[in-house]
Amino acid sequence: MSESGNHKAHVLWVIGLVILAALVVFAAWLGGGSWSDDPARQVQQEHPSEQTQKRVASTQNEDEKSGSAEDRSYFRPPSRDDLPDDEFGDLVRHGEKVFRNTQEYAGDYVGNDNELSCANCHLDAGRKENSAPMWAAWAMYPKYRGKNDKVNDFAERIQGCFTYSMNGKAPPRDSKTIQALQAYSYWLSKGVPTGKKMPGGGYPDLDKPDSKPSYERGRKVYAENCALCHGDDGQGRRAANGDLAFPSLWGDKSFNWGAGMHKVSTAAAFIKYNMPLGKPELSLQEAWDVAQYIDSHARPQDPRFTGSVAETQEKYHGLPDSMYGERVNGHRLGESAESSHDDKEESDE
Amino acid sequence: MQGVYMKSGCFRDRAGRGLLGLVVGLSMTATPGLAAADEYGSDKAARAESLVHYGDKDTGIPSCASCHGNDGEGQMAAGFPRLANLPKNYFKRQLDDFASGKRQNTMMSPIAKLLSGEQREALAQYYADMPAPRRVAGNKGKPASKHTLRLVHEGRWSENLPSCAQCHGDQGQGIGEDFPALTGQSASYLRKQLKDWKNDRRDPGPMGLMGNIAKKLSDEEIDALAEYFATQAGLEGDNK
Repeated sequence: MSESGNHKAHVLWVIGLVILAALVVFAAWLGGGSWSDDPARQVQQEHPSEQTQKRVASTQNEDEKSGSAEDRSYFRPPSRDDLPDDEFGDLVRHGEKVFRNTQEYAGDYVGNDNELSCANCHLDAGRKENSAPMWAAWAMYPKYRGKNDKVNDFAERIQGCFTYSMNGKAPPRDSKTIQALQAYSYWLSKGVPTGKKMPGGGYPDLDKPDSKPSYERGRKVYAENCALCHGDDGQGRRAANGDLAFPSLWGDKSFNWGAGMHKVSTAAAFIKYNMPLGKPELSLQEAWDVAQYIDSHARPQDPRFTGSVAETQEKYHGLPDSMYGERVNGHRLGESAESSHDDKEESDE
Repeated sequence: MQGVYMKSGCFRDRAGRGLLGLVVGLSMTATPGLAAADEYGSDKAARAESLVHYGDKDTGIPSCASCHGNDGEGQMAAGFPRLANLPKNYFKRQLDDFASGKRQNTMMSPIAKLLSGEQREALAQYYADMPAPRRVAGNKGKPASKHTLRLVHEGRWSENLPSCAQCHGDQGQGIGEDFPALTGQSASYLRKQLKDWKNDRRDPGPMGLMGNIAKKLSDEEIDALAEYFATQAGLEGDNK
């Protein structure tokens, strides 16, 4: 009898413990504890409804609310909603306008034919990682630059963008353009330690491809992956109101031979991480090949031009990173600021 | 609505339809008059116009206007899309895709199969030349949320999601030959397209762009975006 009594007591104990454990689990679940560290699952949970999204947005800035695990390791600049409604906020807002539509808001400093905007190379208006975001740049200046062999502060760095990428002229240091772009960059960098190299800053160093970059292969990559938006002739596409919707990649309307993007390695890195827009899936080799192709076309003269292509090439350029001064399709790159006739022959139009 | 294009009884019979398509196709390529007409754009336009307004009784092709309106403005309530002023490339590709099965639609698939390549081309040109419809009055929706406006103008880059405006223009007016206008389309049509892309029921288009984008949108976001563009003013001649 005592034996069977013991047995019964054991069974009751076990049942009791199981119920207790279940209660603990249930209580924890009710309390909102997450049982999954899987970020993908958390992302799903963050999208269930507009109401939930609003709730999330009220406690957390909206730009932060989703993304893969990898994205979460990058710095997130502040939300536009946090911009104060005062003079500083106004200057920052003006900076973003200049950034997104440079021709309209800083046209005096943009080259005559140039149609680019800062945001064409610094995606998401300077917010996107691996696309030279402003939040990673601001805290790295003043800095020595080999390009002009001196220490540059941030204003000088921006002036360089206007001289080269915008094929225009440097806005004065005290111009509203420079002041606003600095204010915008400063604000995006809120919380970034001074002098700290941030993950996702600049354009990443890309591994070298297995085969030497090829113009011919690049041409094919271009036709299949780039021409839809940038045009068969590389001249971009316009919206109905005449605004440039997709930037030109070469020719008079694009960056000049002194811009960073004319370097094959820089263009390849930008492309690998960002192009095609929203679907950056090119292989390493394809990115290098198409960068080689794009940077083997005519574009405006290097502002440092000495009067001789050979001398300018010797002084500032050189293979394999710069095609300046090289002969492509019978045309010596850098020899004329005009679009090469070869471009037109290539076009399928 | 099925009756619109099922007036001739043989449509209900799949084999009969196939045979009919074959006969139509052969007769069109074999008619010397039609081949010669290729050189005369105006003749082509006139025949496209006839198709648009009267269809083709012999082959059973209904008039386009019976569903898409005399001015290509579509029928908002029924979800039939606006066709006027859509880019030619885009338009032709849709008819080709309906015919090949890459894009599925119970109404349009059988009709597109009956159209010859030449007819599809001519219709694409005809509608591309049509002025964009003016905004239908009284179609004001509730104001879009900040979240929706961000998707429209900025995208969501943490998921590599570009803004709608990037490829369809600031006002959704369309860009070039491959990015059609969104304005002047009904919310129900836009919603269905986004959901079809999201669920692999419509070919994702050039470079798979729209499939990639729709899969990153929640159903609530799709509803809000469809509502937003349906209530934007369609601009006269917005693809020009």
